[in-house]
Amino acid sequence: MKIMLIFLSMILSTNTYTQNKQELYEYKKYERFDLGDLEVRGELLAPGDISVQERDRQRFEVDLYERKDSLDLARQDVDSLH
Amino acid sequence: MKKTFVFIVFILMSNIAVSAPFYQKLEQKRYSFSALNSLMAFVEKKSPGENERKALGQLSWEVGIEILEDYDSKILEQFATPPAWFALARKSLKNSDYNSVLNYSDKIPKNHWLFPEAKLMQSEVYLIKKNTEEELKALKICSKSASSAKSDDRYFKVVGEICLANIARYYFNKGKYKEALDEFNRFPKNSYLWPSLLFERAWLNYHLKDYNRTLGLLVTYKSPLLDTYFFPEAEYLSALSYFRLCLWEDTTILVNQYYKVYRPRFYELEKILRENVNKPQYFYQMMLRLDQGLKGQEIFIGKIIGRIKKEQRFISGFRQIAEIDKEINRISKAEKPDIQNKVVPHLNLVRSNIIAKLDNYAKLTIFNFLNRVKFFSNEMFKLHLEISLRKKDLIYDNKKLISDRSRGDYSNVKRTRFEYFWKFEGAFWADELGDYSFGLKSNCETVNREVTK
Repeated sequence: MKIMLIFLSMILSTNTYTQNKQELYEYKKYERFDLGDLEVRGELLAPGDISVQERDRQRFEVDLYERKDSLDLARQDVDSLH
Repeated sequence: MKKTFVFIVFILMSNIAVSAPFYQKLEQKRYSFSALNSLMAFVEKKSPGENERKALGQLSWEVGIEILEDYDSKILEQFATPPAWFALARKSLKNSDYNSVLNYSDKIPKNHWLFPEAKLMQSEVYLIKKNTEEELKALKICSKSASSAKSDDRYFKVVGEICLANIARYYFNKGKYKEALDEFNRFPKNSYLWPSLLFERAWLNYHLKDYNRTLGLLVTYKSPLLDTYFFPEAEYLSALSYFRLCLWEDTTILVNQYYKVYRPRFYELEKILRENVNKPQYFYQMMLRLDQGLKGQEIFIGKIIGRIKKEQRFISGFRQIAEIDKEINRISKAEKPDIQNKVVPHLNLVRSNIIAKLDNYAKLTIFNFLNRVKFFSNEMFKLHLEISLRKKDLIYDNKKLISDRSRGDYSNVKRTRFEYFWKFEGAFWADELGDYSFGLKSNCETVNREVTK
């Protein structure tokens, strides 16, 4: 029993110690890349001449007003009577 | 004793028989506005007889039919006469009760002076109900009956002209431009509506692709005789017609003129009017005299107001106010104080009611006009934008218009054998108005641009 109590108090004290201890994370501050030393595996592709794919030019139609009826004018004339 | 009693009863009886209702006394003295009100008060208590019906017919002609609309529908129902039915039909139209409009207006007999306008009202209902056949029928009857009216009163002429114009508009709405134009061409130049119909005729010619005739009709508004007729829509249509002829430089001139001359003036004017929009009678007073703090805008707004004042509504409104003033004056001079106290307050009420209605109508008309200025300002901008886009298209296609600014030739003037031809010699002649046509050649042909070395 005595031994168990000592064992328990030991575990608890270690736990409290780890909780109080601050965790420090350190990031890599500096890294050097030697691009000349890097190798890329693959095929080198480049256009022989500059070309643009042809497509129709976008043209926005402006909706111009054209009077198609005269309902408003008929109403206006009747209102002008009385 | 018995004889004396019989004698007293006889006198009392005869007195009752002889004593005419108050409205009749007022009517005899030609106090029409007071008599009408008294007649309505009489009918409120007692059912109308033949005398009351006759009195209503006469008084509604004298004071103006619209005054009846201020009275309760239940009283008007009791009369069961054409003026009452007409007033009820107009009230129903305002309440969008279209079946009632047709029911009431159908009761008005053919020989009654209100018959043409009743038919005009019916045509409006049929238009709303999209019953075009009945609409046209009603308009034709209206036009015919108004032209056969025995009276020379301006009212009948205006009603007849509105019906005739609406027949033309009926075809316009259906896209039958040629038929519509034929109807409009039936208007004599001395008719009241003729000047304001010019731009509708111009639109019809535009739809028929006769842009030269459109421009010719619109240039009529530049005549000094028609300087009160300024329509923003006419300015836009001129610019649009030049555009259709590919005379882009001319369109640009009109667009710039609209932006530089008209739009700033109207914005300034709107600012002043909005400041006074809630001032009682402001617009009515402006109709009478033009020193309402318009800061130099008097001449311009004066022209717009000059046109509005020619409308039948204002003519009859001003006449009614003058008649009421006369009636108040006569009553104040000739009648005893008890009669004065009985009728004059009501006359003042009717007078202020008419003024309030005219003020409101003038306000609506002026603001409606200013809204049109704004609307066509946007349309002018779109037109200008379209020209820029078309110019860009030509550059992309390596093309250009055949001429930078093509001018006219008599061979470009289209006309029927009924249309006159006048050469414009720098002055407008009254008999030539409305018969002008430009002779501009269409510039829409494109040619390849020369390659510059």
